[in-house]
Amino acid sequence: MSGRVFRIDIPAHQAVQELLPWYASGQLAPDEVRRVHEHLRGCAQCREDLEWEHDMYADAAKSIAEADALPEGVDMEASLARLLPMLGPQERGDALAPSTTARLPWWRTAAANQPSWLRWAVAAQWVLIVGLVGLLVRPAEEADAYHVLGSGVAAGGNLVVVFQPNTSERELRHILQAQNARVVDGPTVTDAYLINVPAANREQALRALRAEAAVKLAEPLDAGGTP
Amino acid sequence: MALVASDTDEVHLLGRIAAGDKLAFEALYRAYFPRLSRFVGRMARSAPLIEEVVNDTMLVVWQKAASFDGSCKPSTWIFAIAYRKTLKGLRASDEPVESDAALYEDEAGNQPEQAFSRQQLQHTVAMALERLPLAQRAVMVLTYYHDMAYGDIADIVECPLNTVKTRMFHARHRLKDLLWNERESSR
Repeated sequence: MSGRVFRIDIPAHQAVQELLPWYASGQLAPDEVRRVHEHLRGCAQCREDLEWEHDMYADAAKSIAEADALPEGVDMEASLARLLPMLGPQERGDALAPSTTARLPWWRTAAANQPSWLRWAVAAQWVLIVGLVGLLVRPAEEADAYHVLGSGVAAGGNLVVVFQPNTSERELRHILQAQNARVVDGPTVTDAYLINVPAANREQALRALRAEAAVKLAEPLDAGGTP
Repeated sequence: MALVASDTDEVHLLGRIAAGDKLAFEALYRAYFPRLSRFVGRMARSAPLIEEVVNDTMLVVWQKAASFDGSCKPSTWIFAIAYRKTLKGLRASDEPVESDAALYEDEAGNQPEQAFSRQQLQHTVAMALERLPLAQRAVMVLTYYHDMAYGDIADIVECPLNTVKTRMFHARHRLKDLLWNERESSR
């Protein structure tokens, strides 16, 4: 390594050393050019290194010109001929950097804001919104039906039954289940139950109930009547 | 061969390519093929791999032309794609990402004399370049052989500005050492 100039490595010298290749090619900003220029006046090593940089550029330019501009064995026209049939569809819009889009898995692609599926999603959202608004409006139209269920006990029952005072809950349940009957209201202050049996079997149910020892009283109730 | 005079022309070509103009694509391909193949050829060795990497790069240019937003030069955008495709191509191939010589830096001066003797200087530089680690080699090739500013190089290899300058600094020192060793061994 004889012939080299050694000197103390100061920050300014180091900074200029790092910029020399681009100073030689004229690719620095004006303030950087000024800084390098000033340093070169007082630094023999940097002037020597700048000569080396010029030699490198000259050598590179010559090698490109003399090597037919292409690496050995590389054929541009054959490569282009292979590529042209592979030119498929292009991506639209300014989306993402090439490196990221090329390797996105399908679920990441689906999660991205892609117009292809986004417009269908928006359409589906609107259908859902319209449907929900419809559901909000409908209950108001059926307010009467809700009212009947809440307070119109008479409309739901078609028999009145009074059980013997010592009838157990289990016995009472079996008697009602045997007639497919449901308790609509009761017991009232007179221990009466308002029950509902299928209209077609009302008479039969009435007879069966009256035959039960545990039933003290069983009477039909006309729809709309009061117990 | 279609010549692309300036960045403005290339931006115009990219616009036509984004609109599906295959003639514009062919013009850009022919303008870039020599530059890209020389750049890739400094990192990959075999001709088929170089051609494959360049075609992969230009296929991305075709597909993504609409995403070029003009925030950098077209050449910076295209070389950045080429650099990524080169690294990917080297990983997928049997070719070593780093040359053997780059892995054994201390043995650089122990190469047989006939490896370098009586070669042209440019061939010597090319040989010496091959012995640099790939990251340093890419920065050096873009600087000397493609006249790129360090800001553009930082965009291409996707690293900070200071890293580019530092890599270049170390690469020059190593190259000088390699050339000095070569001169000594050929005496």
